Amino acid sequence: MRDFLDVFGAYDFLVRESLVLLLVALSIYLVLQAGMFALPQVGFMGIGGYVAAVASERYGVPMAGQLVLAALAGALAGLVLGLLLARLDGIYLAIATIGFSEIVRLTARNLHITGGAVGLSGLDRTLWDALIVAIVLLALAVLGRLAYTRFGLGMTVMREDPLTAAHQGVSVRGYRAALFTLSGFIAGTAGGLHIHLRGFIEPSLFSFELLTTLLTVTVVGGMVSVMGPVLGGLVVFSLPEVLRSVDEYRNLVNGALLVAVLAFAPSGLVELPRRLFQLVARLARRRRTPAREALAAGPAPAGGSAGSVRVPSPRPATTSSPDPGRLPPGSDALVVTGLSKRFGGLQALDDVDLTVRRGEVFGLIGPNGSGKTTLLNVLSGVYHPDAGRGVVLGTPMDGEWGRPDRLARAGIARTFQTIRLLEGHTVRENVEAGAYLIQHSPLPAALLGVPSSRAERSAVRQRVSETLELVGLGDLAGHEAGALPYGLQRRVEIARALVRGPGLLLLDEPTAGMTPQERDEIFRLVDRVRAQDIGVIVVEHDVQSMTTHCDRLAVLNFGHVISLGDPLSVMREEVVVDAYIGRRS
Amino acid sequence: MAFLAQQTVNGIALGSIFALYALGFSLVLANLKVFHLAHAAVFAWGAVIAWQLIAVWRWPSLLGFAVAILLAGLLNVVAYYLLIRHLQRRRNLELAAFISSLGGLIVLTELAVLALDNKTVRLPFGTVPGGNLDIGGVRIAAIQVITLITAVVIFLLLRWLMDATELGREVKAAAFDRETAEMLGVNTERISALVFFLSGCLAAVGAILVALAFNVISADLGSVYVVTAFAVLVVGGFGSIRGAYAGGLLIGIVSAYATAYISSSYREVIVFGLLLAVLVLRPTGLFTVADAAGKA
Repeated sequence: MRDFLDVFGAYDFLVRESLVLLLVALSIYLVLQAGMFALPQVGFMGIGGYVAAVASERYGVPMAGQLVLAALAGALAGLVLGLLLARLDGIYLAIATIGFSEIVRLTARNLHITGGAVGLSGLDRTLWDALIVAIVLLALAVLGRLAYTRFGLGMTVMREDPLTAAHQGVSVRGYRAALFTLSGFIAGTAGGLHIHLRGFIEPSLFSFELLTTLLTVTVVGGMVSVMGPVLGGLVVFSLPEVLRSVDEYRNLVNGALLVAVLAFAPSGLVELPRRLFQLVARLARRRRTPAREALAAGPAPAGGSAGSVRVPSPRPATTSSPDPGRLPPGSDALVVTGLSKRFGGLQALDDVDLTVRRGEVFGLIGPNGSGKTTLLNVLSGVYHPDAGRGVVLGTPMDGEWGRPDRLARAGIARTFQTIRLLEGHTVRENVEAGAYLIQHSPLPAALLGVPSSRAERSAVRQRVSETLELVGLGDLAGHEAGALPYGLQRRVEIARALVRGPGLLLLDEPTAGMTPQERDEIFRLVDRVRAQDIGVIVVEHDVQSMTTHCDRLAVLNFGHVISLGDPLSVMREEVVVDAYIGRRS
Repeated sequence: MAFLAQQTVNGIALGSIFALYALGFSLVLANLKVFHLAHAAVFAWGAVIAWQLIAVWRWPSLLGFAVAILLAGLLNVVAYYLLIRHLQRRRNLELAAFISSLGGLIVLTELAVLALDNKTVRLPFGTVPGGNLDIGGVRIAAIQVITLITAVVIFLLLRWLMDATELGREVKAAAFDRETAEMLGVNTERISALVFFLSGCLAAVGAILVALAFNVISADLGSVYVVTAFAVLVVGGFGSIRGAYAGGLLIGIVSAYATAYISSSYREVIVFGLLLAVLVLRPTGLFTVADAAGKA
């Protein structure tokens, strides 16, 4: 068990080191596929390595203890860095984290305890092969399974759009800290293992060059699944041996590979066979059955092209239409007082007081720039208000302002003025993203797929199907959301907001750009939502349908509520007419 | 006191080179939101070409420099077309372009290794006048004077180009909002090629100055300073000419002081510590006021 990797003969060291470096590549993969462009992993590996080496050299800690210490040190570094860099994104994050790795390397080079530039040598080299293999397999299993849990769901949505993720209840900050920590844990462990392969540690091991190699492994393989880095590792680490005769070109080949993969196979080599197969299949089909294809292409079948998708007409409303002007019974869904928000010199919201009841459709109208969307953005947590208090569904909002994930937990759900769907994902997947908060299985249970967690997943699928039926998208669950016509994309967003059973739904211009018929369908849908005892706030420009369909209206002008009450009397008020048409002279 | 002044002069000379180097990254970053790592290799190639022309083919040095600068600009345009252009519509442009450009860096660096036969080379002795200026005990080398003058001239040229010409307005418009600029009739494709050309030229200027000042040309001439360029950009703020200069000078002076007063081995720790501190505390850089290009 100890040295079974010796079967690789002259390549035994290469295989062992590749396995350990694969761990670091996995720690890169973990962070990148959650959409964070962070590259501190070589630094984490260095920290793990030095902690293990120092523990062994100066304190005589046994191997197992060293590995635990290395992993914990890496995790701690990850946690601290993740919290410190919470505000950075994109290229800034990449640069900051690469800078971090450099600092680790340079610090190690200057400290006495780490042996300075020479490093520490003479370390124990009796590392059990079984241990390396077991750790790598465990990491692969955990990261592979993670994709199928709600945490994987959270990471996917976060990668596609952090703001949308936050509105589904994903704590982006929490995820970032957790992923940095886990990444540090894995890379730290790899660092601890690595020193016992080489028997020494020196600062120059943890250079920018190592990062480029590992990044190549991750990217060339592809970031669609854990098999990506595995395949990438296989290619990149075996390349030097394959190219031994032309050794001086091997980096060249590595670099060219990187460029070519990004240009021609953006999802990595791991996806290549599938894509080639699709391509071949398509070519073969075209050659074999040109006639049948032409026939099929002729009369467009129902649900064929995106433009001709049959809009499923919603089922008739189960409740009677609202009685305009009457406050429907129900407890308060939302009470806010004194809400103010200023952008530079612009008072976008000025001392707004609102109460919305459960089961009520509350309309928000006003001229362009009057603060309607700002109000929704403050309520859903996009912006932090300058002043104001509120209670949503019994939860005080004071500590939750500016935190979409917490407000989502409190029961708020929303749609956006500009549709924010996960493109490239199906309708069902988009709606499942909204179901993040109604899944509660703890991580170990979800990873192991215990019965309770499996039951929860199938309940969620059921719930998603029901919601899709409710909004009239039952037949389109498998379609790509981004390819649907505009009106249907709106419905997907509404379904995503509804699936977790919110107590308050915010709709930002849900019918913008729709035909009158589509508009009526959306409002009929709103009626069905209200019947589930959900409070609904609608922002919309079309005064006609707002007066018809809302129970109460509030009119905003320059961030001020200038009128509030039943729609007909509100629309008759002089201030409202003034705001819309201008003052009569 | 003279010692401090001497270190300040050294720092300013070093900082001017950092600034010229970082400026190339910064122009591209402002134009396309892309961190063009291969710029580091274009930098090295600027010096390699100059060496080939002047030391091997015995061209007159000024002609050699001029041709090297132009060729480096063209090389960077080629790099744009091969590494960056086709990625622009990708959703993860930042990551994809960074990595594609990283691949380009590796390839170009390896090609430079092959071109130099894995050796370190030098420009012929006497390419620039030797000798020192002595002002009150502070020695200023001729190359330091040349460096400083070059940096100032380029700064003024760039500001003129950006602020006073139609082309500069188009560059700025494309940096601010590519799509809108396109709709207004700016040929953003041409602008990108031009920006890459300019930044490639700047790289060669910086590289030639490094080659003269440190009397060394190697394939990794640019790569060793990549992380320093990160620091310059972060400290000065992304995508602004003034920021690159301010950041470059600050990092140059800090480096010189750290080397002189603490220890040369801690020099980089201090520089990167500064980088991290700025990123944590003021991610937009010390010298930018809500720079539109830098914020995006």
